[in-house]
Amino acid sequence: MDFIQMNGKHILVTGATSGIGKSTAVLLSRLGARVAIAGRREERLKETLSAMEGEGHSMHVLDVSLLDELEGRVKEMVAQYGKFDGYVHSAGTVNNLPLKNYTPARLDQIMRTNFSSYFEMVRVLSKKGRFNEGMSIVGVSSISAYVGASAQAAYGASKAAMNGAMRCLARELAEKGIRLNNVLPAGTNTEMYQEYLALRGEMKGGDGTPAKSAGRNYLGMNEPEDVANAIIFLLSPASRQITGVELPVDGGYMSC
Amino acid sequence: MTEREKLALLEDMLELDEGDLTVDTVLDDIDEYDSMAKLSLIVLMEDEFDVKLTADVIRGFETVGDIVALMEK
Ligand SMILES: NC(=O)c1ccc[n+]([C@@H]2O[C@H](COP(=O)([O-])OP(=O)(O)OC[C@H]3O[C@@H](n4cnc5c(N)ncnc54)[C@H](OP(=O)(O)O)[C@@H]3O)[C@@H](O)[C@H]2O)c1
Repeated sequence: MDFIQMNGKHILVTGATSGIGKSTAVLLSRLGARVAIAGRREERLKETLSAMEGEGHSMHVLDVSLLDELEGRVKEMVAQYGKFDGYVHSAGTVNNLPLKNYTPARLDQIMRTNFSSYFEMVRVLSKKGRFNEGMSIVGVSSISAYVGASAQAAYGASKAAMNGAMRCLARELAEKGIRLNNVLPAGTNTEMYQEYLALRGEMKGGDGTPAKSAGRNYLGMNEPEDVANAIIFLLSPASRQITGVELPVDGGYMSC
Repeated sequence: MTEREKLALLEDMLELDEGDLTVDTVLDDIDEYDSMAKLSLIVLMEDEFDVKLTADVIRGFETVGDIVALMEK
């Protein structure tokens, strides 16, 4: 018997067009899950789908920042493809704004995309008839919830908000048999991080290595698969006694 | 927008006094043109001029005039 059992499980993954979400969707498909993949870019969803194995997957062009649409879209998914056994919230965006460049609208945009969408998705997925017994929800937060960096105030706040909500909701939804956990990646080799490094490298006049983190993630930079592995463990029954946890996937960063 | 108005936008962003900058000012000579200022510049150019600056483009800037040249309006 395999340690991680995902056979026939129906899992929704947002942010599946790229990076961590894409890697999670592909790995889940290899483990026998039926995966509903979501993101804004249709072409990129098709690419993810073609990299996946197995059958019964579905594809959903979805902007998670359009909060009022999320319940209707989830209802449609359930009606057409069945209840969910798991949800991975990997949709997210990063900005590099110094404080003086913020406007209320900019702050709202990042909080909505990273945090409010997570909250709303958990709310609509945890309604009766939309999930199977033992559903597991994994949010992709970040070590930025704990590690201060200039020009990252809203991003860090949005990830800390995800963690705060997750811990409360883990208790609240336990009576429905739903578990919630977050993974907190450090720098992970994705499009988002490459863009961030290019910018930071230039800002520091260096080679793209963020000076303060050099040496802290002493196991080296994550690949998306490293984060996907942790997510899938938390989705699987192998972690059935784990809820309300923030799991760093950070090559040791938080231990320093 | 006149050249002076464009320079004024940069002076405001860098919290300099009016008239401190000319198109010939060398960026490396401006103490205030630091990493945070470069991030602010990205936002300014996108908001005001619909120009998306990449790290490569920013690295290529030598004088204030190089930035002003991209401010088309
Ligand atoms: N890479 C890192 O170093 C790192 C570290 C810590 C945490 N994280 C977190 O990991 C998560 C995934 O990021 P990544 O590194 O895999 O970056 P990525 O490759 O840029 O992926 C981001 C994903 O989010 C989706 N997305 C963004 N805005 C969306 C919206 N409004 N609606 C729906 N989907 C949206 C994108 O899809 P579309 O553009 O197609 O919509 C894309 O699939 C993010 O939450 C990020 O904050 C990343």
